[in-house]
Amino acid sequence: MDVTQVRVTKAGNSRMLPVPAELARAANAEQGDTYTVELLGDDIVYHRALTESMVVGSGSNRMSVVPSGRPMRISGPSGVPPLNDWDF
Amino acid sequence: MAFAVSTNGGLGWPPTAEEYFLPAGLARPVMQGDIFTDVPFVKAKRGSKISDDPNVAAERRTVAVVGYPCDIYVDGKLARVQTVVPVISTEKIGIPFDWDGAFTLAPLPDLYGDDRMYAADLRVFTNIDSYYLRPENRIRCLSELGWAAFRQRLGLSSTRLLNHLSDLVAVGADVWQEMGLWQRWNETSREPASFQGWLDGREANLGGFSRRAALSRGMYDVVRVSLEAELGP
Repeated sequence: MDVTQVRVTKAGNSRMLPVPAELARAANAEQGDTYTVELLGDDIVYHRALTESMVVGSGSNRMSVVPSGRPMRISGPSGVPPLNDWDF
Repeated sequence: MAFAVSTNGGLGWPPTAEEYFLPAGLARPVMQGDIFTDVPFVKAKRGSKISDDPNVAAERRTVAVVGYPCDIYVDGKLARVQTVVPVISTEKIGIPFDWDGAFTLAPLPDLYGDDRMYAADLRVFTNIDSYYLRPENRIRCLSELGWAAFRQRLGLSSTRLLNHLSDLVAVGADVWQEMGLWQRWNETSREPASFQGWLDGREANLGGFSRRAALSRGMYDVVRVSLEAELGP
């Protein structure tokens, strides 16, 4: 089985563990990405590790800036076809 | 054993109506994602040649408001021109049960109380006159989590970037709180538009900030107490 090695850290100890590469690809996981791991029954759920976004500017120019690498990239195209007629 | 990457902050997918909607009371200010029925929806199909005016047809449709809350009001009143998307039944499109790949739709579960799935169609944006967004024609308002999910879908459809729901909830927190306070104001039968002027007012116990600025700095409880004092018993 094609695997991707991930480093798992808990209470200051770390070790390398294999994760199926297919699943890592499906999650758009890249080297350097960080996840927290949650055990839910028999399932292990990986959450992308969160860091705070920054609020910048003020008044009408106030906005939040999300650190690079935080959102998940989704590969297109959409499963819903483009509208090619006015009958929607 | 399953491997999953969660971006939904505990929200099921597709979400349930209980997760996604709030009761649409008349005092609730119009908000991004609100659903209105019986709104004239204009389609401008091509004429027979390029110099012809388009063949314009208007249909009465159910629509979702897509403008960000800050962008749909002028001085506390709905701006004349609003942007909406039509609501469609997902059964006609045949999307997967888990919505895999349906980036251009935002779910509207059990919209009409018929246990069926509908969606805001993010492939079609159009402008309408806010005159048609009648309070009595609003059938759904989004919950805080539902609003975050709606914004998540708006971003996803245009950028293919999936923001985390928890980020969207955090980013929208002060606006969400403002809408709740505005609703409270309206419930006392005060002039709705005058709430915005009150929110821009300053108080000594807000450290020199306006109430709006205090809200954006996380001082919700102080502003809420101030509002209740303003409204009286």
